[in-house]
Parts: sequence; C-alpha cells; structure tokens
Amino acid sequence: MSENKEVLNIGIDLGTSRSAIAASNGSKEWVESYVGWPKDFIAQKVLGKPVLFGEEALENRLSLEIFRPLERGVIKDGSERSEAAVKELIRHLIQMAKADNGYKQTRAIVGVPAESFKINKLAIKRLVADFADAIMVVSEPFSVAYGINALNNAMIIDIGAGTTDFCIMHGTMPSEVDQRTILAAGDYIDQQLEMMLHERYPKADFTPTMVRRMKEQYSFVGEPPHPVMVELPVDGKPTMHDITKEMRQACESILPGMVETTLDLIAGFDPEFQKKVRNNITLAGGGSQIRGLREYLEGALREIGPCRVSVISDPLFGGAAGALALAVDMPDEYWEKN
Amino acid sequence: MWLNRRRTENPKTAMLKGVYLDNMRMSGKLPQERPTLLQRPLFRKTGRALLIVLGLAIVSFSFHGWSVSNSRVHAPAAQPAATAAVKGLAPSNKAMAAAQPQTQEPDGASVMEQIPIWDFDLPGDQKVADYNLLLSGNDHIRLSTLFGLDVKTIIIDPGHGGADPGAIGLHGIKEKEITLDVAQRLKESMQKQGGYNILLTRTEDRTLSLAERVAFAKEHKADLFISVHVNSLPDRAVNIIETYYFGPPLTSDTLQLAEQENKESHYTIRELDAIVQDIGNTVKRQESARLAASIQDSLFRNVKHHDAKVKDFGIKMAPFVVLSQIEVPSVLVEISCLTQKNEEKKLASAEYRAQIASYIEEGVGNYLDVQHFKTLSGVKQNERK
Ligand SMILES: Nc1ncnc2c1ncn2[C@@H]1O[C@H](COP(=O)(O)OP(=O)(O)O)[C@@H](O)[C@H]1O
Ligand SMILES: [Zn+2]
Repeated sequence: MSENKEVLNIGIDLGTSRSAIAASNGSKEWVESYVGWPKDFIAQKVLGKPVLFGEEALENRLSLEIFRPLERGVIKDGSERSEAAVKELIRHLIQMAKADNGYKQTRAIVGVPAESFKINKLAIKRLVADFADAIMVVSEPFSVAYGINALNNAMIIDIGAGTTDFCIMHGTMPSEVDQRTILAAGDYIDQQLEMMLHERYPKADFTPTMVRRMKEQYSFVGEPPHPVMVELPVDGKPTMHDITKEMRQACESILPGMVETTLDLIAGFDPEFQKKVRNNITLAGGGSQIRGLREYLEGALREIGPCRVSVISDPLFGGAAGALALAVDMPDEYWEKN
Repeated sequence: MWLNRRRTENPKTAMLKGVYLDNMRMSGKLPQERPTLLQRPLFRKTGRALLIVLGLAIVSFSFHGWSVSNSRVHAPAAQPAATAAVKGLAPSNKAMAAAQPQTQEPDGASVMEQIPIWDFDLPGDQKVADYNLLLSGNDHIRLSTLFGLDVKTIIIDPGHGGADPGAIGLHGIKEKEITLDVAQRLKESMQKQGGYNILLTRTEDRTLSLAERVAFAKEHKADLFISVHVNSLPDRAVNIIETYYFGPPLTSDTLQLAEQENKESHYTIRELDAIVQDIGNTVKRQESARLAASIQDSLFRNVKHHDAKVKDFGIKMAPFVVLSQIEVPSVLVEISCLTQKNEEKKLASAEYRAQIASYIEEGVGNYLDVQHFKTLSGVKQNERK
C-alpha cells in the first residue's frame, strides 16, 4: 500500500502494564504504563521533569505520585487523575515515535483492554483527540488478530497483566459471545509468586516489582528447564535463593482457568469449525513468553482432538502493529465520516 | 480478475467496516446494537447448564446425607434442611433449629418478597458490576441455602496499620486510625447481637501484611471476611462509597461437566464430589458479590441522609490479594473518602464513625438474614404442603 506522505498512521496499544506505539513512519516504541508526577515542588526540581514514565517513574517512586492508569479493578479512581495519566502516556508515546510534527494529518487506532474499558472508549477517544485528527478505538485481542491476519477459524489468547483475553475469529467482527476475559494473567502470577516467596523465605527482602522482573526472566510451566536461583537481600546481605518450585507453581496457577475457558469458548461452535479453530490458536501478550506454555496447552487441549498452538513472534508490539495495520487499511471515507 | 476473487473471501473488508460502525455507535452517531442477556444464546446455555449442575449437586448431597459410611461432611447445619426441603421431605428438628435466625424474626414469607435472591442466569458472568442486578429478586432458591453456608465466624479486617498509615487526610487523620476504630465499633455492636464469633485481624496500631491477614482468616476459620478501608481520591469533588469483592478467575468446570451429563454420561462419586466442590467455589464468589451488594446498599442509602451528594460507585470485582486468598465470602469496603475535607471532619467525630459502623452492620445483617429467612421459608413452604 503506498503511503500518502502527508498522512501519518499510528497504532497504539494501551496496556495495563505496557503501552506501545507503531507508526507508519517506521517507528516502534513502548513504555511501561506507569505515570508519575513529582509529589511536590522540591521533587520536581530534583527530578527536573514535570512527569515521568515507566521504568524511570518506578525508580523514583518515592518522590512521585505513581499511577498505573489502566490497571483493572485497582483503578481506585476512574477519575480525572487517571485520565490525565492516560493522556500523558499517549503524549509520551507519540513523542517517542516522533509522530508529533510535520504531518498534515494524523490518524490513530487505539487498542484498549477488552473488558475494562467497555464504557470508557469514548474517554480514550477524547484523550487522544489532542494528538490525532481522526481516532478509532478497538478492543484488544481483536487488533492483535488483525495484525497477524488471523481473521477466520482462529483463536487469540492474549495474556496480559491484568487479564487474559480470549477471542474467536470467524471472519466477522467478534461479538460478545466470541470473547471471554479472565483475571488469571500476569499480575495474578505475580501475586501468587510474591505470597509463596514470603511464605518460604520470610527473611528475604523484595518488592512486587522485583517479583515481576524475576517472573519475566525465569517464568516457565512444566518441567523446569534448569533450577531458578535468584539473589535476594536478607538483612541487607545478597543471598541466593532457589525459587524453582514457587516459579513453577505461580506460573501454573493460571493454567486451569485458561484451559477451561478455551474449551468452553470453542465448545460453543459447530464441530467442523471447532476443529479448524483448535488448529489455529495463537498466544499473544507478555504472558505468551512463559516457557513451556505453548507445549502445555497443546497437550491439555489434545484431549478433545489434535490441535496447534503458536506464539506470536513479537508479543510486545502485537497490539500496536495490529492497530497500525487497521489504520493503514481503513478506507478514507470511514476516517472522514468518523 | 474479479471473478476469482469474491469479495466475501476477504474478511478484512468486513472487519474494517465493523470497526468503523462500532466507533460510529460509540460516538452516538448510530443507534446502539446491544442484545439483552437473555437473547444471547450463551447465557441461555449457561443458565440451563447450571440448573443441571444444581440438580446433580442435590443428588450428591442427598447421597452423602444418607450414606452411613461417608463421614465427610460437605456442608454443616442448614444443609440437611435445605436438601430435605427441595426433595420434599420433612426436615428433622435439628435441621429446623439450625435454620432459625438468631436475630429477631419477622414473618419469613412476607419478607421474602423484597429479599435479594441470586438469579441462576447470572452465575458465570464476570460482568456483574451492577448490584441492582443482584438485588432484583425472584423466586429462585439461593445456592448458599441449599449448601448451608452457615456463618459462624466473621472476621473484620481494619485496613493498613503500623508503618502503613494508608490514606492521610488534609488535617492529618490517617486511614489506619479510622479503619481500626470503625472495625472495633462494628465488632462490639455485632457481638451484642450474639450468635456470631467476631474477630479483628488487628486490635491495635500495628503493621500487618496481606499474607498475615489471609493467614489469620484461615487460621480462625472465617466464614465471612470484611476488610474496611477509606478511599483517597484527591481529584474527586464528592464523597464516594464503593465495595469490592474478589472472584478467582472464573472456571467453567461446572458447565463443562454439566454439558457432559447432558449427553447422559455416568458419574463416579468422585466426579460428583468434584462438581460439588466447584459449585462451592461458585457460591463463594456469588456470596461475596451479594455480601458486597448488601453492605454497599446499606452504607450508601444511610450516608446519603448525611450527604446528599455522595456517589454510589457500587460493587466491583477487583484482584486484591487479601480477598483473593480467602476462600470464603470476602469483601473490601471503602467507607468514605479521606481526601474530602468534609468527610475528614466528619470521620473525626466518634458519633459519625459509630454510624458508619452501624450501616455496615445493617448491610451484613441483611445479608445474613436473607440466608436465614430463605432457609426458613423453604422449610415453611414445605410444611404447608
Ligand atoms: N517473559 C515473560 N514471562 C512471563 N510473563 C511476562 C514475560 N514478559 C512479560 N510478562 C508479563 O506480561 C504481562 C504484560 O503483558 P502485556 O501484553 O504487555 O499486558 P498488557 O497489555 O496488559 O499491558 C505482565 O504481567 C508481564 O509481567
Ligand atoms: Zn486502604
């Protein structure tokens, strides 16, 4: 498709834990979905910035008021402050992607978490309006599916931070009955792991962020590829801890819900279609990187017949790339009327 | 070339149009297209499947009830009465006694009409965020009654404490102080009612991890768990009240099994047990939602008399660790907003805190009453026959 130089298309994936952008100028960027404002004037002076994002925000958490604005359920305020945080996040992504100047027209497709934002898509549209001339909002896993061209006889399982979203594609826009959301996802694993580690190593000192990073580095299900050893401070002294068992248990805690939901969702369709879908399941989202997950699911689902599960090649940008593809493919007339 | 490329072969076109129409609808430029719950085939399936599971569960309970050698008790106290009621058998005296409400006893039958009752079409739906759905009653029998979830021990958990002050108001009032005081008042006045063992996770200003709170609930065999908190919403212009409950990720195990039964397969006792076990979890989730709804309803209704502008944020599912790990109905109630200057002032008065405690008590009381009346009414209806 030839690109009109005056138009910039962008795809944004607003995630509970990470947000990403992909633009038709070729840029691809992501940031952890944390937004922090300096707590007071002094903090702002020290930090030298009015607002911080992602990793940097987390590192300076003590002098910041931190928001994870898209976090499900724990958005304590569905309020102005959360909205402001979402807006800052979008502004930041757009600046990172150098999508903020020199274009006559900017068109954005924004992917938002399937469940949590049902009522807030309009708010998202409003928040993006300052940065783009035309905006459409879509639900995640749908944009992921579009991006990898899994439009028919396919199923996407998007394992994010707050939720795991299931979506069956059968050649039309997925409706409510084609989708399911469960809370067994990345944050849930983190919670489990944290609890188990506290239990087993009461003296070890660690934060939820450390737990998440450990998971991201060593996550696995099934037989351990190798022992998982991590260094945790005990009374200030770095000490090695074996967390193999806990890592496995925590990661496996999301499996029953995933298998059941998958089976249940597939069971709603006619047998011929079921067979096709079973052979075209794609894991997406950060959680798709859990080692052994693909094999485990194939094994678990084989009970009902042969099946094939694959993992998306670029989990970090699956949503953003799909949204960009949608923006690029979207006919002008639809943009104009929207 | 157009002949060998039928347009329907490319679903992209349909998708793009779908996205466009969706967004038009969102902005109100097209009429909404939203099927009601009952029109959706999946919901009908869910409801039907649950009924089948329920039937199975009753059979299973009856089995356990009559089997002499089986010493494993799934459900204490009220369960035999409920089972008997459903099966059309006269309940034993003991069961009747167990079903008596401990509090004063209005006429069960007339109260019945207003009591919230769980609707079978709803279990399995994660999206029950609107507690009106829960409160709009019908005549279905509540699962908890059938299963005799008999509440004996109620644990109240004052949020935060010690090194963790929680929210802090403009005048320096700390969430941990308010939660402890309200929790203590709640405990005292509920204890006066008698019949329940009421425990606090902390009775002084000390640091308590979530894991410790969970451990406490487990150790003391909590039947209900109520965590008390005060909101902090610096950017809100009004006071809001909200109550959270946790559902572990939903499983569709029960449905799966019910579907199989539909195909006339035969169960082993172990499988029946598994179904019951799983229904137990469903009940916990439902009961958490109902407890949350009942507390939220009472708290909001009463606070509205003090503050006409207070906002009802309803009940919500949330992955709070403290709720996730406790395997009995558990809720987290945000009783007020400490960041509201007015609220902070009010919360500073012992009288207001006592009132808040009494509103929560009313909510818990209503929740418990429904359970008792329902059991009782099941028995009464049975007697009438
Ligand atoms: N290698 C990994 N193994 C397991 N989990 C991971 C890994 N990398 C990222 N995650 C988890 O994936 C989740 C984020 O996935 P993502 O798709 O970005 O979610 P969201 O869209 O909700 O922000 C987080 O819980 C993160 O910890
Ligand atoms: Zn709190």
